[in-house]
Amino acid sequence: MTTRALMIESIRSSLAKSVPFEHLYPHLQPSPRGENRSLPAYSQSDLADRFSAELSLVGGEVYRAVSEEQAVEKIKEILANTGVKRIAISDAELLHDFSLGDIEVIAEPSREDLLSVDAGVSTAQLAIAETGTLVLRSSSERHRLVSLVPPVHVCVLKVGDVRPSMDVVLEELSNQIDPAITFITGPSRTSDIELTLAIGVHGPKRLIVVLID
Amino acid sequence: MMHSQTANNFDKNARAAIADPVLQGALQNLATTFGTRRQAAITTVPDWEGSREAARSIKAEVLQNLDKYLEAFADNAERNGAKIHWAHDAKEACSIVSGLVKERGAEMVVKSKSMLTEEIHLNATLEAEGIDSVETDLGEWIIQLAGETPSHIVVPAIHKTKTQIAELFAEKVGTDRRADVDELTATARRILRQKFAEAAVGISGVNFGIAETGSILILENEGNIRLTTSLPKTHIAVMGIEKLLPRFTDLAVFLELLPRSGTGQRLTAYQSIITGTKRTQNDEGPEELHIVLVDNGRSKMLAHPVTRQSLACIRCGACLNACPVYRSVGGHAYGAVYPGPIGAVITPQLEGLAKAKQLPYASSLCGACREVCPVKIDIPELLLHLRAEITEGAANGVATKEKVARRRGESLAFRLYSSMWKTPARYGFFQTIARTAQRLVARDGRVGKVSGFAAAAAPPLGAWTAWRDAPAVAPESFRDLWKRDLKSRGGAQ
Repeated sequence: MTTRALMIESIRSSLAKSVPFEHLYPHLQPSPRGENRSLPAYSQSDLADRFSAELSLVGGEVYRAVSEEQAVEKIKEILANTGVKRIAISDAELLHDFSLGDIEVIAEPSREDLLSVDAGVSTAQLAIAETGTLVLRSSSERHRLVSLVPPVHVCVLKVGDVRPSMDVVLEELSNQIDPAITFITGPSRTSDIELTLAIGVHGPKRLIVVLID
Repeated sequence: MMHSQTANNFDKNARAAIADPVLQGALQNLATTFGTRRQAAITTVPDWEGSREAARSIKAEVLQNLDKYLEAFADNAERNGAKIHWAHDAKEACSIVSGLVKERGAEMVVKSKSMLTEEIHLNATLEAEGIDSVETDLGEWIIQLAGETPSHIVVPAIHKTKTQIAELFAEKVGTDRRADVDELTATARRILRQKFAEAAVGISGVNFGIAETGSILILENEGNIRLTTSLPKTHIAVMGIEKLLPRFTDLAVFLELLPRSGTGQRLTAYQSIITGTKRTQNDEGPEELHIVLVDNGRSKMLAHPVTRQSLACIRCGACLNACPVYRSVGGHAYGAVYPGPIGAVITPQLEGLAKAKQLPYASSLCGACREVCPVKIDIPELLLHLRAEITEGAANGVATKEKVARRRGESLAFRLYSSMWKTPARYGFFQTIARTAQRLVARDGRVGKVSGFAAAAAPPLGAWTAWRDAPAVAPESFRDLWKRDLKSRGGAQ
């Protein structure tokens, strides 16, 4: 018998010994969650506002732009102000031919590049207004390292991709599950020393979102 | 803090912990901070009770069908490119992991925080095999540098002060003794970055496994789990068999409950959902993903509806923060991997009642744990169940001749005691006797520690009052008072 078969057998024999849980706790019969969970009907711009407010609360920075061109200008301005010289970008369609003047842009960064650049730029495919969360999908872009390893993460998001809640986002993702999906809510943080908040322990110290209307 | 790594020394450990002012300060900070944050966070949920009910129902469904969901999970994960390994116990799990590491020729691995890897003592096995296993969660790294064990499920180094940590870093990695929290954090980042860059294998735990897709989800704040699972070529995830959820969308309710209950956050900074390996060259995901499914005593807990509840636990730590006992003694007093109320029920089941027979008694049964538990585990019911098993001697090695004799004595004493209350006449008679007899031992309306002759005359009284006061019988009973009052008003009936 394989270990798999043995383990499954051990579960089955234990289950057979017990009165089913539900018989002892009838009040815990499976009940679908949530009639009283429906959110107020947000307009897309309400959602963007809520997203910005929530992300700011956890230490993220949000800038608005009315076009892709303006977004690029905005990013150039922010990065130039913080003394950024080299950045890595993901392979997102929106970032093709991405150029930032004097700042060196590395389009297909190696591990070494990622460990040495000053910032990483990616996009996000979805976002959650309730919590200020970015959702990055690996089927749309190789995001895992560029959004994590450099000290600053700049993320471009379209207002139309902001959803009200986690429930809605999971529903949408469940149609096609990517190999890697990452939810990001603010910069990297820890409270492991005396519960004192410290930002940027392993991931980015700054999370900058540029929201395109 | 001095503590003894056995779950049968709770009494002694607890007394030492209460006498430690540094630890007391840290525990006070924990209870206030996490308590307040949790309270604020749960008010942002429209129907907190409904969410708890829903989560518990989903867990009940999983556990009742664990065989089916586990097989579905394994098949779906393998279909997506993961390799599933099955481990009956801790030893098997450790040898699978160390085998995988050795096959890849790695001498060093990066590891993220996982209670299961603590439970199976994975680091000790890896070390014995000559593999350097580096903990990368800040709290865990501190604990590893200090050569200690975690004292909390969520914040493992909660028992250490900033000053102690600065001293530790100064000694081990040569930083300034006066370093502040930001400097200490930056030091950890710098040193661990190097480890991440070099490691060929990353080892993580799992918060949730999804049966219908074979996905795993891991939550964190620091980013070390993301680094552990995405920088090295090989990712090994060690997962308890109870971690399953049936459907992908079931995650919603658990992502609402877990961060709020654990750290009082609405959502932690990062959630990584990993479904198999990368499928095309342009895809992203680990090149190699191994998931080790570990039983280690879990399937046994399914056999009884009361103990089965233990498997619903999502390791949020809320019961620790709420528990007056944990808040007084800290995690190390429990002498086990899992501390606090949930530890007091899991440890005896994992390690055997004989090895942890004090833990089910390390509770006042106040029910604060049950109140905060996001999946509504009735921990007091579990504690009583385990106490009954200990008293009944069902556990191997617990029943001794003296215990059996004592149990008979106790049951005789309680029969006598109940006969004193059977009729109003007997009740009045024994009350008068007690009122006279207690003059020897009662002070200010309380019976304090009874010893010497009185304890010899009435052993249960000695045992009861050894650790707590008993209320004294009132100088005049309510019935006497009532009679006297009626008489003074003219005796009208």
